[in-house]
Amino acid sequence: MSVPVLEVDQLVIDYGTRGGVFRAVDDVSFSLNRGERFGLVGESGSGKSTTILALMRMLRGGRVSSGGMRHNGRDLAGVSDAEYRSLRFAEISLVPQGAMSSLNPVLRIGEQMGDIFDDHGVRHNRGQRAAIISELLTQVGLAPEMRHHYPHELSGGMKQRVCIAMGIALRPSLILADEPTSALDVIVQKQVLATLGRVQQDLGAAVILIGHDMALMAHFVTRLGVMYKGRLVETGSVRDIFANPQHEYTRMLINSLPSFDRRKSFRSGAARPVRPAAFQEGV
Amino acid sequence: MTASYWDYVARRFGIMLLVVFLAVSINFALPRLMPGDPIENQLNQLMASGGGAMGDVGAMVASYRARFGLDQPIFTQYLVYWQSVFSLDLGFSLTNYPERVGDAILAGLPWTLGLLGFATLVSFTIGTLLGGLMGWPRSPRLLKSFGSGVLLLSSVPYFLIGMILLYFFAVVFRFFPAGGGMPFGMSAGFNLESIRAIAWHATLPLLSIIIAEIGAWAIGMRGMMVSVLGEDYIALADAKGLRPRRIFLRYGMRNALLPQMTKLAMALGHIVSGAILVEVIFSYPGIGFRLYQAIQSKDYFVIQGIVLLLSVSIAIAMFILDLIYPLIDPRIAKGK
Repeated sequence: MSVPVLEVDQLVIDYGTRGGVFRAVDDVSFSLNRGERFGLVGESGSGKSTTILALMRMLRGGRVSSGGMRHNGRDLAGVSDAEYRSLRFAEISLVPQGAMSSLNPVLRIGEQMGDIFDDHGVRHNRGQRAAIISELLTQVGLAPEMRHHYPHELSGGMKQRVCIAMGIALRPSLILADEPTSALDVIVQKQVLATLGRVQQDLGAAVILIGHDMALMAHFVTRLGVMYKGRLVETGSVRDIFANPQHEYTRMLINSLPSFDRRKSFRSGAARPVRPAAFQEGV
Repeated sequence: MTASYWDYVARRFGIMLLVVFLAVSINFALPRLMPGDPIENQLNQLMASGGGAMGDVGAMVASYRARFGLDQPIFTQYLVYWQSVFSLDLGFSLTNYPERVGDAILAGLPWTLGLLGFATLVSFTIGTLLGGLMGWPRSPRLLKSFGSGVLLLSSVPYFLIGMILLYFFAVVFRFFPAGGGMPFGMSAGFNLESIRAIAWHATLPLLSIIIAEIGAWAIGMRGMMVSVLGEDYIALADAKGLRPRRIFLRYGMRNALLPQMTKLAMALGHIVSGAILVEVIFSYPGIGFRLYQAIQSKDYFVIQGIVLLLSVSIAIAMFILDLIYPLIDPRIAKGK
């Protein structure tokens, strides 16, 4: 087996707050192989997004206290800030959560996409640039003319597709998708996720998909990690986790899915609220 | 440009016309609502200084009223006023009788436009850039603390700064002239000597406005910059691995600038009235000084002329802003 695209090894991330140190990510380890789809689920504040931000080196106010991250075998801790900038999107790209507000309102779609090439030293003449951007937009299911439009002229799903197109522009080996569909309606969610899956396969890139929606996850990823209170409490194949969830929080997530054969399914999640203290020892 | 843009332009043009109409009407009405009669005032002053040998004051008042049209019914006066506005004939000054209001405005306008226009553009440019840099986390700390000092100055009114500058640089150390637009007896022309003299006289008034205004521009820009930097598109720009300089200019400044442009258009529209006090302190021969004198002597027609110019120039400045705003913010022409 070749070197994993990403190895996260006993990662600990702390935020300094007025009340002392807050440990957002606690001893998290996982790895991704080339082209693999990995899902990270967990409630708000469980440390999913913090892990992603750490991978982008975009923690605001937080710091990696111990542990490490390796990309294609290279220790990311040793990379300078300037070098990290050129790594972003070229090797590790991000599809953001708030696609509605993630595009610069005063720049045309084509201009914001072109910025990526410009600042990563990729030179094109006018015709080449237009052709490449049109090609990227086509890949995510948008009309090439969209490059002349401003963000406010696009729907939410279209904006998210633009974000995906930007994410694959430099053919990264790893795509971090931070709840890319949370702001979209159910139908569009599936379409956008299908698009993400298709371009990811074409590219052979690995994906980390973050979310809460177990059903959506089950469709998309092969392996799943469950985070709870900063810890990765469970990892395994989707099949295994659905068949035999180990952690109580995982069980609750699965039980909260609406189901045809379990009528009480909606109640079962709500009736037994998870009390953190209750399974502290199980962690 | 698209059809929606021209719709938008037409709507904005209509609004401008409405503003001008209201301004002209209010401008006509206000001086006539003021207590006191300018002609009796003027004649009384003349009598007081001329020793009383004036003959029949009542007859003189009546003849002057007839000459200025003040004996007509108010509605006729209103129509005549509109007629004269359209023919750009703003009448005569009451205090400097043979002088035409149009000429008085034309004499003062270049001074005011030059002084205030230059000061506004310079303080806008420096203040906006400074504010932007102060809101940018990567800026050097030295620059930020320097900026805070400048912000402090913005709470001092410009006429106070003007008086301080006047005291130190014109009275204690005689580096600069204490007033006027150029040396007495010299006439303006397009030659090096004249330009140098004008610049030398304008230095202190310019400085006092610029020093006071930079802080106001910087405060607004810093606040906008901080809020823009919290936007999702800045985070994504960072994630995209863009160079900090590009994020600062194209994603940060470019968006934070939008409200500043509105303020700039307002400021340019207010140029005519903007620095009456500076012109008074430095006895600068601009419109503001003239307006001040006219108000003191109840010189109806001069006040009306200048205030009209002021309101029309604000309306036009806002219209021009409306025209260019869709070009800097693509979201504007859409919607509403």
